[in-house]
Parts: sequence; structure tokens; C-alpha cells
Amino acid sequence: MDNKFFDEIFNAYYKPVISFIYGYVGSFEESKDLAQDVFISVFKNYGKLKEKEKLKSWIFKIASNKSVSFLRWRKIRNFLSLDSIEEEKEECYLKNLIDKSQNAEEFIVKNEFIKKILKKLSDKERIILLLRAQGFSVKDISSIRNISEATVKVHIFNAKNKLKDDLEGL
Amino acid sequence: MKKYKLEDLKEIPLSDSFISEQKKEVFKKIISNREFKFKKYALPSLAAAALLVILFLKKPQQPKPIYSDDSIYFYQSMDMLEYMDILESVSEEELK
Repeated sequence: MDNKFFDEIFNAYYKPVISFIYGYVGSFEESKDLAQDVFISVFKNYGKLKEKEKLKSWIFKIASNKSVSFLRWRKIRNFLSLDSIEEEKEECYLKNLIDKSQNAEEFIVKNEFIKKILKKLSDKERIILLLRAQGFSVKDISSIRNISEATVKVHIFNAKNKLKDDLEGL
Repeated sequence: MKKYKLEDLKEIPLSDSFISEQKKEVFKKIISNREFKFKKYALPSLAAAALLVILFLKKPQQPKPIYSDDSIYFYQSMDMLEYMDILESVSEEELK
């Protein structure tokens, strides 16, 4: 993969990828590292991708696999009480990274709300809802997560049911 | 009151400067990965070279000593000592 093409891919997918990881993992600092890993994998393995038209699904497959593995590891780490996320510090850090044209205060309020409601979901429901928010179809999600379409539908149904009082348009 | 939509989960409005900084970091890691790869490829030849150096520098083993007559005698007398109590317990009459 040449650098110019990678540049285009990075510009097109970095924001959605880090947002997706952040929604699932819940810590921006850790999401930043994971997103870097995702794009390193994309750069290294692009040549192996046979269906180039499925680039977006492929990138999100890498992102979701890395996020799921990370969360598993973090659960063990937290169980062993090695360390935990300092949410206040995180909030401040994220606020400084927001585009100046946007209302950072408003974003933080929205972000906190979304983080709170996402906690109502199981890990599986959360990852599927986040992929849905990225515009993937049930078929795409089934291929990204390597599960049946019926399972995807069940998780979407359950997630929507849990969040119907919190989010619009579900 | 419902304020937000599912689409609100889609994108964090990150600044362009942060994104280009991240891009640079990723490139840096990709390059350092490549350097590491080169080192990995070089490992077999480095290992072979190290082995040759070790073999070359290793001192030749000392040849096994050829026993002198004295030392053989010493070992023979050791064998005798093992049977000394048996010999001593045999009465003189029996030996006659």
C-alpha cells in the first residue's frame, strides 16, 4: 500500500473507527492506542484483502476484533485491580481534542449521557449497536462479527428495547 | 426526554491537528516495525556468524591423558583395597 492511499484511508476512516472503539471500550486514551493498532494492521495487511470493495467492513472487523480482545484483557486486569480508568482526567483530555468549530462543552455532556446509556447494554449488544450506528446492515454486522444474522437481529432488538426511552429514532 | 439519536454515536468531532498527529504516530510505528522486520530477517545470518565465532574461539579440548604405569598401579592397588577385609577375614589355616 502506498503512503498516499494510506493517507486517504486514514482520513476517511480514522474518526469513525476511534469513535466506534471509544463507544465500546469507554476510555479515550485506550481507544487511541487501539485505533493506532488498527491502522497499522490495515497498512500491513491491505495486500491480503481480496474484496477491495469491502474495505470499510474489513477495517471495522479489525477494529471490533481488537476491541473485543482488549476488553477481555481489561476485565481480567480490573479484576486483579491493577489499575482503573480515571474518568475525570479522561473527560478533560478529550475536551481538548475536540474540533474548535464544535461546542466542546455540549459534546462532553452528550458524551457522558451516551456513555451512561451504553452501560445498560451487554458487550455483545453494545458492539452490534455501535456497528449499526456506523451504518452497517445486519448482513454486514453478521460477517464482521462472524455470527448469524438471526443473532445480530436479536441483539439489535434487545439493545433498542433497553434504550428506547433514551435515544430517538430507535 | 429523548435528546440524542443513534447517529450521535457515529463520530467524535476530533480536531484536524489531533488526527494528523495520530497519522504521524501511526507512520512512525509502521516504519519502526519495518526496521524490526529487517532485524528479524537478519537474525538467521547473525546467528550463524555468532556460531562460527564461538566455534573458532573455543579452545580445543585437552586430549585424554594416557595413563602412566604408576597411575595404573595406583588403580590396581585401589581394587585390592576393596577386597582387603575379605582377605583379612580368611584364616591362615584355610589358606594353607
